[in-house]
Amino acid sequence: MFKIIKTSLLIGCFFIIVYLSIDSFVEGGYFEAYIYWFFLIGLLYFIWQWRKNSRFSLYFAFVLFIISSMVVTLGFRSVGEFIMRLSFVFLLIGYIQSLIEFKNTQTETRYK
Amino acid sequence: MLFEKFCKKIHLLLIIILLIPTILTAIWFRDGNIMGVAESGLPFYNFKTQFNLNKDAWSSYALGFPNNIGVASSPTYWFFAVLQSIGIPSFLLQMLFFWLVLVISGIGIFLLAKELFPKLENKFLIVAVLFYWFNPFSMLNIWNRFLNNFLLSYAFIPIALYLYIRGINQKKYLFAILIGFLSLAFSHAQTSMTSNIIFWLILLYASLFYIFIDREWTKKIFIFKFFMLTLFFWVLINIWWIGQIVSYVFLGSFNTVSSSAFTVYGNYQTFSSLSKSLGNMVDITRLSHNSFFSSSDISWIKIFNFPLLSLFNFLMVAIVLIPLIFIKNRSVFFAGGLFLMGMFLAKGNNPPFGEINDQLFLLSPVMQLFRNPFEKFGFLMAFSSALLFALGLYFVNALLNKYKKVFYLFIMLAIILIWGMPFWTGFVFVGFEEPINNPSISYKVKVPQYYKEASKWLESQKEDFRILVLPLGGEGITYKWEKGYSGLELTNQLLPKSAVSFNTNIPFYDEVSKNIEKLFLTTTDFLPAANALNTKYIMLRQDVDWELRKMKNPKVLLSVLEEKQQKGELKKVAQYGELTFWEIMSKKKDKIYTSSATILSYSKPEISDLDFSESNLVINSKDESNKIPSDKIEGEIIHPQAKFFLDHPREPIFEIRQDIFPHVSILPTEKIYPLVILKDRAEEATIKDMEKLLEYRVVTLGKRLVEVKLSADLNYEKGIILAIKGYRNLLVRTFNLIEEFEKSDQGNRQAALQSELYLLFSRHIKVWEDTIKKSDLSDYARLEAEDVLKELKTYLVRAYIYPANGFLISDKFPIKRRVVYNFEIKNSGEYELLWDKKILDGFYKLSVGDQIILQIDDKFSTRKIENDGKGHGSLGKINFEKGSHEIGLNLPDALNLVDAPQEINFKVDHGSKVSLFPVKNYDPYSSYSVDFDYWIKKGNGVQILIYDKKPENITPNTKPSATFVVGPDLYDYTPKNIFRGFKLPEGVDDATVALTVFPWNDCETIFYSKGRGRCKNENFRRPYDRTTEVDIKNLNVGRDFTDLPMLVREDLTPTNEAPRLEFQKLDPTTYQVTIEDARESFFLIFSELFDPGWRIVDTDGKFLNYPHFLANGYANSWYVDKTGSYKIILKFIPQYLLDYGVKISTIAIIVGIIFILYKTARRKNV
Repeated sequence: MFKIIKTSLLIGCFFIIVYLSIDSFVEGGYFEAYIYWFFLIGLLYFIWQWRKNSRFSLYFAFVLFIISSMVVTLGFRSVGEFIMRLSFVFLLIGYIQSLIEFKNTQTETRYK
Repeated sequence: MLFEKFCKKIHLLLIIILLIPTILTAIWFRDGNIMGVAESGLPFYNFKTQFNLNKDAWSSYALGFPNNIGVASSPTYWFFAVLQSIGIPSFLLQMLFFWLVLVISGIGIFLLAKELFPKLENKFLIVAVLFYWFNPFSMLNIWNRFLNNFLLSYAFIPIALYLYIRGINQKKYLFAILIGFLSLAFSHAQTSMTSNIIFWLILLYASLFYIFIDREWTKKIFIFKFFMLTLFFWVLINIWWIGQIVSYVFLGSFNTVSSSAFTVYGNYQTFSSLSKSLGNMVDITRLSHNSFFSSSDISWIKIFNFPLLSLFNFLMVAIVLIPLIFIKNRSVFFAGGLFLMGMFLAKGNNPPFGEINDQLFLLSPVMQLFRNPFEKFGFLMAFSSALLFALGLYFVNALLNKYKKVFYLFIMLAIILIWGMPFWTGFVFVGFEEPINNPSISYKVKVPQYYKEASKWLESQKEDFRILVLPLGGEGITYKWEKGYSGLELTNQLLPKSAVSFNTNIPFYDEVSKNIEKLFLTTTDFLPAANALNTKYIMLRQDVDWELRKMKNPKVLLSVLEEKQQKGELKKVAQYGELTFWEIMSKKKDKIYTSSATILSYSKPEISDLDFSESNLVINSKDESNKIPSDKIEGEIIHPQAKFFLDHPREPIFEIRQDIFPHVSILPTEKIYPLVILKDRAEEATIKDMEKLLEYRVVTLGKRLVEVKLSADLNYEKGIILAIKGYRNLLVRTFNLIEEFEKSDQGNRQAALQSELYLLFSRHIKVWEDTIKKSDLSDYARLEAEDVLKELKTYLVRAYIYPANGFLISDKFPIKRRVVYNFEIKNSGEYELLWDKKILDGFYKLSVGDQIILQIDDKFSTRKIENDGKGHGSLGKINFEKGSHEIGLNLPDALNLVDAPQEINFKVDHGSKVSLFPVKNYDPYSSYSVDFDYWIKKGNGVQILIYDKKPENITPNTKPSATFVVGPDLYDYTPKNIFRGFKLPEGVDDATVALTVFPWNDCETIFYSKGRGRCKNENFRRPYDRTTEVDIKNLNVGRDFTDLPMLVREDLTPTNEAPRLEFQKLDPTTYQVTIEDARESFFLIFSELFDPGWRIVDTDGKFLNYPHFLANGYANSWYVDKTGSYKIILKFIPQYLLDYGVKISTIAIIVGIIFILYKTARRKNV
């Protein structure tokens, strides 16, 4: 039962983001700024629920960055900007997760 | 292999760091010219002048102003002035300066990268240096921007941070002392408050980061102490200039500047618009300035917009991100955190999470300095990404096995050749406007020899006087020299005397500078103003690009000067090249003089008020005028403090309209009503533009009122009360915003809003009154409604939306372009109502002897207009009691200033048809309106073009100053009327209105998806032309009636002689004044810019608290009630702080040196 509620919440969050995206891009509405807050809440919830570590967020950030770069280079600047902003949200979350993980373990990646 | 060996040797690497700057600076200065542009001006031209302007707490620049943080630049200017005095050419000094910036920044980044990533090979560390030098942020925001203090910060911050982190790592307090010393060497970098904040933000971040990441408590405590010691020693070393900021903030100058020149509203608007244009993530991740790199005005920038180069830029960022993604290391976290923080702050209030930045900006006064977030915080990204890039490149290289050398070389060469291209070619110093957009000129400047000759001549004159420089434009100027210049106006840097030579937004100074040229050209007697400014010469300069800068034509000014010479007012005394000097004859006043009486001026100080004063003194005071006895007051001038306008009366009605009273479907009694409020607040929170926010709140206020009305109609008692509560809450917030508008520079916009808001709130008042009249309303609800209505009316009067006496109306006095002025009378008496004589100068259907009906408070009065013989139109005298009063009238009809036929028919099959109408009696200081009836019968509409030239000088290629497009009508082809206003720059002497009609053409629609560019070819598009036919009637161009009236009371003619005085300027902050035989109290006038820091002290150094006033619109005046002969000193108080500060800093330096010597000696002994 609890799992169903949690999944419903996540789906709800997803639809809010979809609605707000449509409102912003199609209707030119007021709510563009809120997309990212809902996205952040959804992402945090997802990470908490599925116990994802920093690697998940950081890899996603990197993949989105690459996609955004391609899209901007092809000339679709506004779409690229949207993806880049999502990438930034992933990067922020990933950085904080990574920092906390590092603080807890104090294991450094050797680069030499 | 060989290269690796080469790079392993650190001293060879240092050679690279020295060699590249040497080659670059040699290329930049190969032709022996200095460089200058933008706000930096041209300091390398004459360091002695620069040093003299900046060494004291008060600068004699223009009308004088407090140097504030600017004194921090004086050691740098002193150092270069010494080098210049021993004969080192200026261009070599600038070359040395740039070389040092590059070398120190390179060494700083190298050492920092080495400290953070000690195991990283040198060949990667050198890439960090190259990245830091040549990245797009550095290219534009550091080098192209060309601010000397930014350049020094760019070099200072990496090396200071290196010392800080080394101090933490080695746990040695010695580094805190070294940072203090370093900051002294880079004191010029600290003239930028934002750079200081960023520097301390970085150190604070570093401290918090290491406190967070370190597990040992002893280390955590050490870091805290180390930070505090660094801060303490930095403050001690820099106390000499920090004291100037403290005095600036607490003595009152800051309050004046912050309340008049900068407002939260104005700053926020700039912050939002710059965030929008420069804060896109796709740009800031690439460290790119969007507006610059998307510009088409500079050819070389286009290279960076090729898709391949765009991808290359992203590749570089990807390398920066790689350590963040794949490497867990404390130094990576450190640099990564800085990078992300920079990104978050540099994007301003753009999403995501821009709301946090909004709150930071609005809540913290310090953040108001960061109006351009990308320019300021982008530095954090540029700096941290250089560090991450070196590690990222190492990581990628390690993955590539046999291609790693190729990849490394590719990246290194790409940085040097692609990003470095503008540096090697010198394009980095090419700007947008003329002449700096010419690569052969760029920022290079060659000041003509005649400036040196003029300087020598002026320097030979020992008196302390000013020069008025004409033509006078804004704070920017363009010189047409062999190697021209575009940037901050230079007269005060080029000549040794103070000059009023530009107009800028400095409080009190701008009141003089924006009016002085107009006053010189229009007034019959310029002497009072010249005396008040202590002007000895008028300098005419003919080497400026007056057309580009929209300044007055020097030839027009020359003819006026010659005319005044013939009248004996001026005399041409010297000519040096393109500069001519005209001495003002019969100049009577010095910089410091006395007066026995004064005129009082209220509300808005104006230098033109001097026309009414025989004693050459006008005092503006809000609070202290009651300290002046009445026999010392020549009279009073009251300028209006508010203006109301109503075009024609309208019946306020209730109608459901989305922009006034929006449709309401959910009433306050419904359960989901809180969601409506939540939705309204959420929508409101997303609006960044203050004007749109005001519109939104006003409409939402209408919505709340509709809820009140519907609840009352349905007799829902609870609903009425809830809706009234909502209305009242929003009312307070709306009027707070309106008041914010008033405080800001948008005062004019507020005036425009006034009539809109008046009409809108009239409807609100009507709805409230109708609601209160409802018989079935409960007593409680009625009382609440009455309260809100009363509150609304109070707000409307207080915010100058509603005249306190309303707009009076009668059969003889209908409301027809009614204007009402509000005056605050301080002393009861008889005042004469005057206007500038322009209202009688052939602009209006108004002449001497005409009758005008006035609304004086709540009464009508008929007056005859007279010429007062002093350049004013007079409407007679009116008795006023102390308090707020209103005078209203219907504006006179404007005369048509163009000769146009009654009806003009345009029929165009091909090409275009143009009709030109020169504006008669054109006055450059006025705004105009053009209106006509038109009927588009076929095809396109009409273009109204406004040219700043006579018709004979207009060619098809002439660019209009303003363009308005009328039509085409897409549906309703009926006669209509159009009305548009325009105002040309004040330098313009002629105006022409052109009506242009083009044929209708659908070429671009047909070829929209397959080569519409061909339609630009006239021959190709011609077959698609269809006839346009437009009829125009009643073309009318009139001058807007913007002249403000004033109330003048002249009491007495001064009879008493003011005491004589002698004075001696000891330094720019100290004047010794000897008063001789003062028989009664008098006014002492000091013609330097008004500042509360100027005080009178006696010869024992004791402060004398005489009332201090703003005089003559800009200067200082004291009412001195001491008689006899004595000496006093005029002192700029912050100089004391500077003197003490220098002593404290010197002691700190000595203590610091002793500490270092002690530590060094102890280490040797150990």
